[in-house]
Amino acid sequence: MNHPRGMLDDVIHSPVRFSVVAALAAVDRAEFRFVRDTVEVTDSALSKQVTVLENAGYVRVHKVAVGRRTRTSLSLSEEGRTAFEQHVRALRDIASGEAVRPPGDG
Amino acid sequence: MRRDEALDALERAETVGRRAHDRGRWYMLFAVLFSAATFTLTVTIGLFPTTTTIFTAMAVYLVLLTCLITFALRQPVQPRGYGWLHGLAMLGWGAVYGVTLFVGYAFFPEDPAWWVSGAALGTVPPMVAGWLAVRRNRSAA
Repeated sequence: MNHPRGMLDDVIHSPVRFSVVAALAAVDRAEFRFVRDTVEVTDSALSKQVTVLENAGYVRVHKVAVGRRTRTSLSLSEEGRTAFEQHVRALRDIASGEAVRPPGDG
Repeated sequence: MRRDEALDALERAETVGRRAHDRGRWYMLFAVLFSAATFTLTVTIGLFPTTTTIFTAMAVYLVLLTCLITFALRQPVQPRGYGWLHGLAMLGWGAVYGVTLFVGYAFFPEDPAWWVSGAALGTVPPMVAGWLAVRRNRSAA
């Protein structure tokens, strides 16, 4: 038996990144400013966390030119969605006090 | 991580996920307005097929459609499954609208039963898509 904390995803574990991924998991795509306001962080703080998530392959950044401005939106990759779901399962196991068996452990 | 920390994290994810999901509810409003516009257009051009009526109805419809597209493009969130839901809704509506129009003009000119039924049937794909976008799981948390 393992403690479910071993199933937690290191990239998503940070509170801000977890909130960003949770917001994106509920939609197909969200604008950067909407995510910033929803997670309640500054532009620069969100940019840093999004870069970490993007480098991990969990988040995709889309930029579209609208007139003179650039509209930035974010979406969760399939890999990011899977990681988020696994992270949430681990959190639920921790919350319920359950231990988990590693794969292949009969 | 302790149990209370896990519970806090889950609660935070649920809150943030719900906020994001709820911001995608605009698509239901879009579906209702699109359905109303297309129902009115179909019934109008089917039951009153004069050049003036068709021209006026199409002009009003195009203005409404432009407003709806602008409204959609300005939304900060695309609901879960938006791409395929909207694509299927438009394909479904297009098919029903096309059949209603071509078969109606050929075989049921100014027949209220045909045109009202066809117009009503054309609202089904966008309304179902709007409803599905609203009812989908709010988040995995």
